[in-house]
Amino acid sequence: MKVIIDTDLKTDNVTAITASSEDASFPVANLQNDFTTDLWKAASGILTASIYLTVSKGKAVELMNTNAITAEVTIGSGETYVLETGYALETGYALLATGVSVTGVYNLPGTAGRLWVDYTEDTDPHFVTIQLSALATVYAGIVRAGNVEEFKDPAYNMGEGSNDYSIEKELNNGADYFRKRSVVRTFHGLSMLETRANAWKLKHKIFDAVGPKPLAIRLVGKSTITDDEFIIFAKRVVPPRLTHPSSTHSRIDFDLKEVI
Amino acid sequence: MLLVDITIDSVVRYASVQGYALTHNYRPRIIAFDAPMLAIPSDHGGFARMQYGKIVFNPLLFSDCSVWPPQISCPITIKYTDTTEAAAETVFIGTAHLDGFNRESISYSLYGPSYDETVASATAYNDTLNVILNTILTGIAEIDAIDTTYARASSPNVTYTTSGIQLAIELASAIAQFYSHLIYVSGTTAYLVDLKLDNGSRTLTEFQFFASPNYWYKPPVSLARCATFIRSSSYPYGQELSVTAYHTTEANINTALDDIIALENAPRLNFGIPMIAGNFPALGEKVTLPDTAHVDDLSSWIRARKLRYDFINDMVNIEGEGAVAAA
Repeated sequence: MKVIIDTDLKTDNVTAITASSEDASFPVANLQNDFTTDLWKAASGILTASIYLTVSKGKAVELMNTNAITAEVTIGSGETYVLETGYALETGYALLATGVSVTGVYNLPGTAGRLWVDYTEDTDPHFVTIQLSALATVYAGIVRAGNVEEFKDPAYNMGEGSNDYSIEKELNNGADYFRKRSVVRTFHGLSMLETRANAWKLKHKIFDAVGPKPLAIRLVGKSTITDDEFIIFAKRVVPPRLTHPSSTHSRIDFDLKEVI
Repeated sequence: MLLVDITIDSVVRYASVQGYALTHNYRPRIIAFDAPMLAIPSDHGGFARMQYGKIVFNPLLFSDCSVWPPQISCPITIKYTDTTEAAAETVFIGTAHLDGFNRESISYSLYGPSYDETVASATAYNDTLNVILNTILTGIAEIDAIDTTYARASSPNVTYTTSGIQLAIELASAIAQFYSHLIYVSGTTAYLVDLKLDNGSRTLTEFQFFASPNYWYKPPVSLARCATFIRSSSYPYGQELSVTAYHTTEANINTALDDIIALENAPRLNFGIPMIAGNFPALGEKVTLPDTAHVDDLSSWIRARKLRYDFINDMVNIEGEGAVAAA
C-alpha cells in the first residue's frame, strides 16, 4: 500500500499549482482541496489542458475524478539551457531541456478517471506536468504529489462496500421510485502485518496525524496488480487499531471510506 | 437539484446539498434545509405566504471566502433544476438572517418580502372583489399587477369600510377569505384564484405519487356566523365558525357563508409526489388520483391548498380539499 504524504508536513509536497486553462468558476486551486467533486475545469470548449505542479520532493502523483481519456505525465527538474545575450541558434537547432522525462501516456475511461503514476524519486524541487485530453471540456477533482510512504498490501479477504446516498421510495402501487445520488466506496477489514516501526508510522505519523483528512492512497502497491479501482482518495473510518502479537511485528486493522 | 445563490461579502457564492459542476460550481455546503411550505391561512382562502424554516450551512461556505464570523444578513436565491443551471426554477428570493452557529454548522432563517404597506382607517370600499383587491394589492411595492384569470366569473361585490389602520396584505387576505378566494404572489404578479375553480389540473397514475395518501376529515362545521347572520351545515354537531363580513346584504353574506361551510367540511387528502423541475403544482390546481391499495378502489381529487417543498428528499407534499369516491 502506498500513501502520498510528507509525514513532517502532514500533507503532500505540492508547493504551487497552475493550469494552462481554467474556468473562473472552477479554479485550479480546487484540485488541492479535499473534495473530488469540487472540480477544476478548463475554459469552456478546451479539450486538452495541462496542470503544472511544483513539488518540493516526491515520487508519485495521484489525480482523481477526471473526464480525460488520456493523460501524459512529464517530470522535470526545471533546469534549462539559456543562450548568452548576443548568441542565437542556427536554423533547425533547439536547446535541450535537461532533467525532463515523460513517464508515460495513460489511457483513462473518460468519466470518474483515476490516475496514479510512480516516478523516479527526486529529493529536490521539481515539476510535474499532467496533460489531460478529454472529449468535452476537460476537468479533474483533486491532485496530490510528493513523498510516498510504502507498506505491505492489506491481506486478502479485505472487504469492499459502498454507501449509496440515492433517494428510494415506494410508489402507491408498490413500484419503486428512485433518484440516483452519489455512491461512495468503502473498504473494510483492511489488515496487515508490519514491522512495529511501520505500524507506528502508519497509525501515528499518518492516520492519527491527519485525522479525518482524506489521503491519496494506492491500496495495493504490488506492481502486477494495476486495477485503477485500487487508486483511492479516502479517509479512515475510525483511527487504525494496532495489535502487538510479537516483539518485532504488529498487526494493523483499519477501514477506509472514499470522499466525494 | 437544489441550488442556492447566497451573497456573502458582496460576492455571490454557490451552494447545494451535493456538489454540482454546472455553469457555476455549486459546492456541497448545505447540511439541512427545512421544507418550505406555501399555504393559505385558513381552509377557505386568503393570502398564501411562503413559510420558511431554517437553512443550515457547512462552515466551509465561509472559509471558502475567508469571511468569519458568518455574515449576519445575506441576500439569498433558492432555485431548483433537474438539468442545467439555465433551466433552474426560482423558488424563493429573500434574505437569510443568521440564527446562530457552532463548530459544525451555521443556521440561518429565511425571510421573504415584508409587504408592510397599510390602508388608512375609514377607507370605504364598494366595488367588485377583483377591482378592490387590485387596488389594495397593487398598492404594495412588490406587486405590480393582479391576475384574475381564475377568479370567480361574476366577481362578488365588496362593501366595507375599514376601522383603524390595517396592513394592506392582511386586509386583502381577509376579504379574499370571506369570498373563498386565495391569493399567491409569483414574481411581481398577485394571482387571485376562486377556491371553487381549478387553477389548472393534472391526473396522476399510481406511478406518480408515493404510498400512501392520507385521507382525513376535520370536525365538521355545524354553523357559520357572521354579524347577525347564521348559516347551518348538514351536520347538527361539530364546531361553530365566526367570520368577518365584507358585505352588508344578507343574500351576499349567506352565499359567502355557504361557500365557506362547503369548503370547511370537504374531505381532505395529503400525499407526496416526486419533485420535478418545471412541473411544480400550483395552488388551486386540481389533482386527480386513483388509489387501488384499499379494500375497494378509490378515485379522488383535491385542489392544492398547501404545498410543502422537501428539497432534501426531492419531494413535494400536496394537501387540499376535494372529493373521495369509489372508483
